[in-house]
Amino acid sequence: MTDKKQDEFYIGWVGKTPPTFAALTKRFVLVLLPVIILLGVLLAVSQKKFGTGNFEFGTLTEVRGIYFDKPVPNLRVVTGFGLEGNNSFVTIPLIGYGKFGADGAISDIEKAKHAVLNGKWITLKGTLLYNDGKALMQVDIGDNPITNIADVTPHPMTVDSEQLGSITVKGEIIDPKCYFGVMKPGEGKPHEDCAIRCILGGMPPMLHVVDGSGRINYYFIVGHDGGKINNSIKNYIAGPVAITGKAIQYGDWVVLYTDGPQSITAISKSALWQPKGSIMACAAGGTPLKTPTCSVR
Amino acid sequence: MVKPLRKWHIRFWAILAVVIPAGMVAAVLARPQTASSIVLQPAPSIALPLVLKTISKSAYTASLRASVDTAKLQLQLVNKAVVTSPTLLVYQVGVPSTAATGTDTLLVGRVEATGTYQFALANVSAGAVRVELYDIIHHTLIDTISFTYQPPIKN
Amino acid sequence: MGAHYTAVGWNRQKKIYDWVIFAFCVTYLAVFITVTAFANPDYTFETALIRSTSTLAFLLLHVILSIGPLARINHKFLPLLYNRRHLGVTMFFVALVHGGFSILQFHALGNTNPFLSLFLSNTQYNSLPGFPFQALGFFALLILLLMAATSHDFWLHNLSPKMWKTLHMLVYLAYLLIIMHVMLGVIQYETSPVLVVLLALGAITIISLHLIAGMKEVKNDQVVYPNRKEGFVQVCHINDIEDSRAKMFCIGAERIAVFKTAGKLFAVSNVCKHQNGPLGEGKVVDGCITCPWHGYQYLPHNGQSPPPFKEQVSTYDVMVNEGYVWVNPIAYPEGTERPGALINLQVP
Repeated sequence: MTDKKQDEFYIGWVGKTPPTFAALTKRFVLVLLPVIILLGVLLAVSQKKFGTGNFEFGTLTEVRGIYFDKPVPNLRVVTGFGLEGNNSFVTIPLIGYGKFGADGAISDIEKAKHAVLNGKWITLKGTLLYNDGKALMQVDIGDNPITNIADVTPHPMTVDSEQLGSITVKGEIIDPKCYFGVMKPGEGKPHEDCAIRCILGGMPPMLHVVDGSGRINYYFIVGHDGGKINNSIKNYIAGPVAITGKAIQYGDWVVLYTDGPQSITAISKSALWQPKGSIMACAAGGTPLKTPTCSVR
Repeated sequence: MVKPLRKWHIRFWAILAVVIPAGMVAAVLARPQTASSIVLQPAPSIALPLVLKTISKSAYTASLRASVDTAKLQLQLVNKAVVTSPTLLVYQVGVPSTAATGTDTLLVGRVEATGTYQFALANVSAGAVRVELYDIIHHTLIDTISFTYQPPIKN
Repeated sequence: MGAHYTAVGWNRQKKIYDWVIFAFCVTYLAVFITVTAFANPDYTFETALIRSTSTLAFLLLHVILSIGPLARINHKFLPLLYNRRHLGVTMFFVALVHGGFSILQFHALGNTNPFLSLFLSNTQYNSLPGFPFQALGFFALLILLLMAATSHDFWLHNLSPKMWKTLHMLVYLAYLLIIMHVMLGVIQYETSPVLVVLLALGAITIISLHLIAGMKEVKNDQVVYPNRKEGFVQVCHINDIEDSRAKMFCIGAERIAVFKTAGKLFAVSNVCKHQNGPLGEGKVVDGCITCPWHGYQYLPHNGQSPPPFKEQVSTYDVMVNEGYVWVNPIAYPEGTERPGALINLQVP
């Protein structure tokens, strides 16, 4: 005699599921439910810590300062007098809307206002982004960003600079807009395409350098004459690189003057999969301010 | 499934059984190492020897330090939390106004990353130093640190 | 177009199935986003959305890929198979949210068309660590789109079941593309081993299930039938076939299902006309051979679906000799009536 349970047969279009089929399906679903919840928790907690950056999306802030177009478009905001009666300032690098640098917006403003902004007091309205005590501002022509332009007569300010010499530093090339608040993560492989698109759109490339204890330096990267090298460094963005250049500190930011891609080497664990012209593995945390001693492929 | 599809099915999975582990191992091996360097640090300033007062909060520990003769005052600020405002400037208020400055507020320094900062302070009336943590961009007073202390007795 | 199609009846089972899928998706998304928000106060919703939908879609793909082999290993899993396409379409839409939002986030508002930017931003196709992983995800999503768009019997009839099945086997390629999309993407950034370990466990499970189920089928297909006489092949003893059930025999080009019903044996092609399901694993219900996958029915003596349905399968000659079942593997045209073979109940 045939076992009745064994002889049960499931037909999808019949409203009722045979008991043994229904029981196994129920068991499957009941096992899957805690598994799904557990996986959700596990995957969520295993994510790398999100960055602390902030993008004040939808909020416009007015800031008054002196505009300089070099080394990257920036606004210097006077913060007060120091102990020795000297002027101090905070530098706010400017970036554009979307995945663009600020040059386009500044050029549009200059045309509209029939004025050259470099070295002028301006009151600029834009969207702030900030992280780690440093701030940047998004300038969008749609925000009607300039409310005032004046000559710098009351407080002439020279762009003082400090030569830090020729150095080699290891880090990752990032686009500052995403890193300082627009995206999390704003660095690493998942963000690579976006960083490339931002830098190709004129965003000033920045080298993010971290030491063993988590302290960070940021270097704006420019050509040896201070010109843009954005288009020639595409293949080095968002991966570990070593860059050699002349470092100059302008107040609260450091700028690295390089010879473009010739000054950059990609760092990877394996030489097997590396594109041509990159170097083999270097020990992390090697001697700074010195060209890597790794063999070149 | 028809026989050719059944055959392709198992061939496909036999190939995947080799390709997937190989791809995964290769990708794990290719993971980039974190490139790290020694970072540039602000010129170190030496902490003055006397600690006149210490105030500890969750975001920072602030100490008022002084030279042995108390002629020089210094603010030592150990910043423990990530700065969440656009800027964090440190002002000393209640300092004598000079012709150059024209104000009783003195900018003594700026805090960015976490770490230890030492800022020289103006020596004001003994026993009270007031410091403000201020964001110049949002024009927001973040915190006020008031030190009241008993100055060491000079011999 | 010659094919006719009618709206699928949403019976109680389908409704339960869909509600369970919905509840699972909502639960997972809620858990992932809530835990992310609590564990990372600095999180952004955009990232939580991109990550929660990606991991959910991948989890659903694991379930989808498990159902086929599970149902072949144990028929009691067949209720999960019946509405599997609902799960597939759901997975596609979840993956579409991930892919669409990622393209918007990483490629929109730039100096290039977002779809071009996807392929032109990172062009390190010759580097493993630098490989443009987003392109892999894009092609996987394209396969899922193709599958979701054709996930209706209208396309099944128009493309032919063999073509449709072949097209839908592209999901295995999509699975490989997604694994490498993850491995060459987020794994190059995250430091926790959790994701790699889970991926490996998932791959081991899916590959093992498919290989086990596949080996079972291969074993079936490799049985040799040495006794042959006048075009007939001896396949089994009549007691090996249960009443109202069948046994499948792969003789030559394709499997033949021999059914025992109403005191007779009938042989028909094992391949259902709907999705090429295994008729031999079905049952005779109300006098009709019923496919275990989606319940398509055929009359045992002529392989024709009962009117008004028009599907037909091939029929074969079968005979009983001294208690043994003999089948002639030469197929009659689809829908040809055959007398079947009477079973002598006094079999030794």
